[in-house]
Amino acid sequence: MVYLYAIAELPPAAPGVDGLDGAALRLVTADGLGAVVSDRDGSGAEASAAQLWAHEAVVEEVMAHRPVLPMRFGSTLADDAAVRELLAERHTALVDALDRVRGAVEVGLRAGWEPEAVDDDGSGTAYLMGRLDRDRRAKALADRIEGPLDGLARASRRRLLPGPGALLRSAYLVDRERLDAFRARVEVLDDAIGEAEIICTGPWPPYSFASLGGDS
Amino acid sequence: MSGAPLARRLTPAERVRREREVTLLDLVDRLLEGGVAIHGDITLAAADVDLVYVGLRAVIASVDSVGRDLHGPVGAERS
Repeated sequence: MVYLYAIAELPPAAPGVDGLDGAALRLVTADGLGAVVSDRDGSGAEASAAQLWAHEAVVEEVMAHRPVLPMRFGSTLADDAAVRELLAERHTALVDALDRVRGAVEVGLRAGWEPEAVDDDGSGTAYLMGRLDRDRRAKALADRIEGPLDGLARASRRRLLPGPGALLRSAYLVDRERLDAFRARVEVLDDAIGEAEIICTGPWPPYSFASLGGDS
Repeated sequence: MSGAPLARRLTPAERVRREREVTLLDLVDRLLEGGVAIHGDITLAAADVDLVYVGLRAVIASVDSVGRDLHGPVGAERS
């Protein structure tokens, strides 16, 4: 079986890392695109933290040199011919997706808050009203966080989680040269907004923006 | 008012630890739910998924404990 890490425009530089379980990385190419792969016994992969980081290390290494679409962890195909078939069949979607992420990185953002407990006096109505109100406040707080950030990002995806604790989980696609400014603005927001704690992770390869729109 | 101000901001050391924990969560989310998906070709053996879930629970438990510590009594000791 062939395990896939990423799809990149050619020519990618030779990666200076090994693949999962120390397997050598190699390239399978078709139509100006290359899939970075390694050989593997059996399909699938053990989803331990170490293996996830090994996959991530390969993607980051490739991304240092070329626009890249990271593969979902565990992606395997039967052989090189199947990889070439994937590259050929999805060529247009892959090229479009690479154009979307070219020159950008992904930043993860999580915000937490501590809303007042919703009153539950046994009346269903009071509870529902309380929940609605909390949801409204959650959205307002999320907008205060995200409004200033949207202008610095190429694209974003957000999930609102209006329960106690977790408020917001977002992914931003940010031009490389705007990354410092983006992170600086997040810090300013975190200081300015007392009701929320904001944590950024990354930069990541563009996992959240790699969808081909109708997966193969 | 959208919510009460947090009882205590993270210290720099707490922040670093929290970012590490959240980074692992974000790694798992991205690699398992993001990226280019080849439909039907991803296999995680049952035991392996347990590994991920165990890992997640451990991370979530520690993230929760950071949350509890944040909102504990003012001046509470922290290791």
